[in-house]
Amino acid sequence: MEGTSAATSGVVALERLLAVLPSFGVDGADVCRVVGVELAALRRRQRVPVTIETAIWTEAARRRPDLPLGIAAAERCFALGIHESTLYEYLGCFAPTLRDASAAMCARQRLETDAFVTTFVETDDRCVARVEPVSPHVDVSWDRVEFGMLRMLKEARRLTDCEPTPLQVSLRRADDRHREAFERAFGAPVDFGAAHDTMSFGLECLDSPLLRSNPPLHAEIVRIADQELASLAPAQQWPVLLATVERLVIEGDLSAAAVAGWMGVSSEALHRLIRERGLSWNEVVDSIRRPRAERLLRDPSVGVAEVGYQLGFASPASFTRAFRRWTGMSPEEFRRST
Amino acid sequence: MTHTIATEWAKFFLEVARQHGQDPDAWLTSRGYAADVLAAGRAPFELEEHIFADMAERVPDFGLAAARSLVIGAFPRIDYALMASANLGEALVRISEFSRYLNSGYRFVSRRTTGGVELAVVRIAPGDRILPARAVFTIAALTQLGRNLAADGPTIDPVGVSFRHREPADLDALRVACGPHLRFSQPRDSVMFRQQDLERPNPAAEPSLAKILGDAARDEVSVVVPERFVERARAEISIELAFGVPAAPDIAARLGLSLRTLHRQLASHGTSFGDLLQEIRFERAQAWLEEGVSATAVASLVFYSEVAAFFRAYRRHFGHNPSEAGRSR
Repeated sequence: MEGTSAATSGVVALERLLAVLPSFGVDGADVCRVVGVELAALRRRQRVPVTIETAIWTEAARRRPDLPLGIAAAERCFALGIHESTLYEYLGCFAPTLRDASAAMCARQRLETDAFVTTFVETDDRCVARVEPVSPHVDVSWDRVEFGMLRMLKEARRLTDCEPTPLQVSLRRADDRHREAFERAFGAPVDFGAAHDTMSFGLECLDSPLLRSNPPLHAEIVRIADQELASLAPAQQWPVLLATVERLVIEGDLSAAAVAGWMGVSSEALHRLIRERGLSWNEVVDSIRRPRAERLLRDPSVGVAEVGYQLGFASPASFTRAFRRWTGMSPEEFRRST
Repeated sequence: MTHTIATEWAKFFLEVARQHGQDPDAWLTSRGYAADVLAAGRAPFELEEHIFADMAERVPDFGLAAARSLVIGAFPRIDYALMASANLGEALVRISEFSRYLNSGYRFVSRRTTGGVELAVVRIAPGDRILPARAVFTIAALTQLGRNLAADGPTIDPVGVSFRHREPADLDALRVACGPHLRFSQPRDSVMFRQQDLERPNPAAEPSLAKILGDAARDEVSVVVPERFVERARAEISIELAFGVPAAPDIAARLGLSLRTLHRQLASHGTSFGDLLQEIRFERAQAWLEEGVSATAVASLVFYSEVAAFFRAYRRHFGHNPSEAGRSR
């Protein structure tokens, strides 16, 4: 997707990796050099392109194929006493409960990265934390995601009196040769080659109070985080917006409010962002739906009704109407013409 | 420029008054404030002054009551930045910075002395008056900050506290709030801490949190309207005059100007260094005279080495003798 390369991450997560690489015998400066960035220049920045972050993780992991680098780095950080120090991490520190902490962080994950999002879905008997790339076009290192997941778990244990332990961990990584290390680190059975990176928990810990709970301070941190989010450059917000729309189109849960929620901005800010480009909400949605519709229609094995459904249209008729507006043709005519 | 205060700051004092049986809304109306004076982010400087002048008469020890209400979390962004500071010294630097946001008409100034570091609160807004409750509030709040930061170790107490106002009849509550080393009728309102107390590590220090909160609070300080040239010069002179008679080159240096530029700039604003200095000096002298301090004592409080020189200058400025000051009002 055009512009997706503008996605960035806060530099701190990367600095954490670079801080522990020496203990794995890996020269961080050399890793950076191979990737084509200067370590010193990197440290001067607040945010780095996701492409660079991913390249550094990938190169570092390549040098220690004997390790699951993400979880090894997370454990090392913990052993070194590297805990919350960024605005994003403090969102999870002073909330009243673990549930509030998770909610505050998930809604503002863009402070940490544009690359992936974490969601908490609560059902009757469990809650599932799911980490996934914002878009299939953003390449995120598995180690990076696993690093984030294990840190999340270990910090949750440190910040509460209850020992949250996953019932099950699922990873997209197909290669299971480090199974034992993963299962030891997460304290749970790990399933490899899954569709998403997830951790599922029972509900018992969600309401446990954080040891550092401090509601007025938490409210203040949230306020500062929201100011910070609002000030993130539109150049960074735009690709995230497109990626979020695309994701929600696929999931069939598209609305401006949902997109704003995922992006961690207010509805007003979302519409302002769209207006600034001289576009309307419908035009943004169409810019995602139209190429997707055309791509799907070229595959004769997918029925027209199915395409409409996949794009989140309420009925085949409304899909046909929209498609005619885009191309002047009905979906069937388009299919015949290609 | 007119000096302003943060509206939340005014609301805080009005809440203290409410808790002591006052009706803030009725009071605001009686003082002639519009209903929306607390609606915007900033309120006029005079509002705080009026609150202190009036509430000090209605609520016993209003300044101490306000300091006691200043619990951690009353102003979260500021308080937690202070509580996460590396030590009291760093916290005092931060509070000096944030105080401009809360009230742009006062400035905190620290001076290193032989006994430690003295932190004075100096009024830079024109029309200097002695409001004992305001000074007591500030000094008690700073004392409280030291005690909060030393929660786990031996108490940090000031080794000296100075007030401009005269010694009150009852000192007990003040001694509890500010420690036993109290002096009155001094040239400035200030508190002094020992160097080792300022440097004692805060066990709850959290540099990254202090920085996040401190930076955010600093952004708010930047919304305080920048002062125009004469006000900036006036502020620097006011500050220096709390410690001695400033010389023009020092003020020029503090403003980052050459001496010539300072003189030229002031002249272009229709004033001069000498005029400004005397204006502030006599404003301050007048406040003490109205408090009933003797003219001889006032002469030294505004740093005249000879009483006769003070009398002469005073007569030239006001057209009457200092001893007639109380009567002239």
